Amino acid sequence: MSEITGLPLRRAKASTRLEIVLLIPLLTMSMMAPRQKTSPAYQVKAVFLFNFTQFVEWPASAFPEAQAPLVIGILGTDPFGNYLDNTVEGEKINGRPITVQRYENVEQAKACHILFVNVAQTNQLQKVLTGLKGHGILTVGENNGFIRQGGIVRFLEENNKIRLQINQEAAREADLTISSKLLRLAEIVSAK
Amino acid sequence: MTVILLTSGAVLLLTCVSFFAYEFFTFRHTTVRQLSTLGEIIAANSTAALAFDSPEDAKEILAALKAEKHIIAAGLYDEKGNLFSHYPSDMPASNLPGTPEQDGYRFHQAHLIVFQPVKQGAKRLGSLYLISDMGAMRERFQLYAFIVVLVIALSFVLAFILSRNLQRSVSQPILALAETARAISERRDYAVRATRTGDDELGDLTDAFNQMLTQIQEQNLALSQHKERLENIVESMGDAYVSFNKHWEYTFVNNKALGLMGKQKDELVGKTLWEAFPDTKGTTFDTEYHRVLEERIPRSFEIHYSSYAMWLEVRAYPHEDGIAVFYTDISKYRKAEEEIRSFNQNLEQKVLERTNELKAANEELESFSYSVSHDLRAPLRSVHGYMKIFAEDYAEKMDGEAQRIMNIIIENAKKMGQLIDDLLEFSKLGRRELMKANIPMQDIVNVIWEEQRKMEVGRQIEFCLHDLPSAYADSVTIKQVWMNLISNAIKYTLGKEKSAIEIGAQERESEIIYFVKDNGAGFDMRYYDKLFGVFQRLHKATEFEGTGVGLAIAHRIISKHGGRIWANAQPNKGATFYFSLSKSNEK
Repeated sequence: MSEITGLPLRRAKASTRLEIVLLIPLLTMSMMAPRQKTSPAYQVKAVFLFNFTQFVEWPASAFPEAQAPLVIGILGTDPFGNYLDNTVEGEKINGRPITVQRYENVEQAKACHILFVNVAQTNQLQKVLTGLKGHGILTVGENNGFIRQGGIVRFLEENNKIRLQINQEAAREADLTISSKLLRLAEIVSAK
Repeated sequence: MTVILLTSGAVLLLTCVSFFAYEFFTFRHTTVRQLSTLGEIIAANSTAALAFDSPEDAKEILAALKAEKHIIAAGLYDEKGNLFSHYPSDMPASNLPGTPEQDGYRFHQAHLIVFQPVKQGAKRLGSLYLISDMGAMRERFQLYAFIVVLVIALSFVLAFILSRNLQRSVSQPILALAETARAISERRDYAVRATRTGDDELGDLTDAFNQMLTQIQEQNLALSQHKERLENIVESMGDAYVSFNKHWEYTFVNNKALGLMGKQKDELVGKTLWEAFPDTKGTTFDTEYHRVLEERIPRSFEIHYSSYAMWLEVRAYPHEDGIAVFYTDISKYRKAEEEIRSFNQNLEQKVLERTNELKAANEELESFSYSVSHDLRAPLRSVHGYMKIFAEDYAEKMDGEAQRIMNIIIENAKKMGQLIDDLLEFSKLGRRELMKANIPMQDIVNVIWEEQRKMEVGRQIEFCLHDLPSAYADSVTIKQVWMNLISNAIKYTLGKEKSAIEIGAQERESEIIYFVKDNGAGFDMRYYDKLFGVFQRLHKATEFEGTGVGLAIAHRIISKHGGRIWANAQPNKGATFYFSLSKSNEK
């Protein structure tokens, strides 16, 4: 009998959980009709950048304090306009707010947790990635040699879809834990 | 037997239904839990696929559901509610709900539908839809139903066998007993007895039943004896008795009543009062009988029943079923009463007439005697006057003999005058009104005594006066009484060497008795009845002078006061005169 009466309890719990669910930016692009000229591909990438916050764990040392914001940084040309800012606005991850920062040099970028590196020249990229090594930063880029030069996640387009490449070793070196669920989706590649 | 089968059937059915209900709820609950758990696992695995827009991965994850045969379909929806991926992949997407419903589960046509949130951490990424076939439950319940039917069938067979055995040992004797009871109540023959079959409780029941029959028989006998006795009493009663039921039908009529009404029993019993005596409708009989029946109170009344020319005294009492009525023929008493009444009326009339006649005669007599005595006085005075003149003028011319005769004439004329005066006094008393007041007897008697005493110079009279209570009376006439009695006492003690007169009184409850006692001549009690008569004398005029009116006057005065006067005497030993006056204070 007690099992029968237990049923509605479970249901109540489920609905409570539902109420907790926050309004979040959407996965697909159609809603986010850009006011500025952000291409659909970059809209998806902006959402992916945000979604990384949910599937990657940073070491505690990556944050100056418990409530310190999680920072998504952009180094180089910003292809997102303010789409990324809109996406993360009001969002929280483990109680931390999420902010977007734009950097001009590597030194500035060391304070962030996810960094989208949009640098075209190979030697310059090499320099950036070397400079960020070991700072607990999830580096994301699009260049062909991004992974080879020490980057962690690379976006690549295939059949009009955005695919992911992940360098697990680089992630481990950066002291980041990437969820196996994310790893399963991505193509695991190595720098060698 | 049917009862036993029904009972066991009901018990079984109830048990099975309870079992079914329990199983149903438990099974459902378990299914829901299992499906929720499965949903949670799938949802947890699908987060990355949703987050990074990988329907292929989602499809792969959902394909794992193949292991769960009861899952018919599954669908993954993105945050916007669009279908992102579904299972089985070869099923058209239109078979799935277009948008996800609220989180939770529901049963729909033997299917369980679950909507599960897909979350990564606190972040909601979409919804998972699962639909499960409840076929397993149906299969299980079919098995249960089969078992239940089997069990019930077996139980019925068992119950039937058991109850047949039970009937042989229990029901049959009871049925036999019931049969006997029915036979008895139909034939009303309480002499029948049930036969005892066994040495068990049923045997005891049979004994108890037989005992009850014996008691009924005894009570019936007592009742019929009682009824007979009552009927005898009713028959032997002097009164006519009839009984009606609520519909006014005669239920009983005793012989006396039949005699009174001059009818046969079969003319009345079973008929209503109104059929037998239509002329009683609307009469006192009708109204009174209805009151008795409706108000349940006894009524009695007297009535003249003209059809029988008879006066009846009727007493009606309510009884359980109607009313009981007693009739007494009171015509004789009525007649006698009537006669006595008319006789009394005549008598009163006659007495009144006579009294008036008597009164007239009396008045006539009194006025006659008054006028006679009054008219006699004038010529007598004339005779007496002229005789005295004659004696004075012609005394020397007459010889001694002539003078003696003349003196006798004068003396008798004087005496006659006295007689007439007394007679007038007496007759005046009859007209006189009494003026009653409180009068001091002691003083009155003292004054009278002194007056009388003065006239008797030289006599030795011993006078004793006791205390006299005062009386409420007419002082003038009472003085007359005392005067007459005291002067009598003085007169009749004249011959004695030593006269003794005693006056006193005795107080009684309602009256005072005064007396005057002397030691004089007394009288013979043989002549007592003449004592208070007018002109009646017990002594010769030569012995004691007097007119014989004094006591008559006293008698008359005391009578007028409502008192009595009487005397006690012996010749030569004195006399005592008593009179009484009432103590009444009325003024």
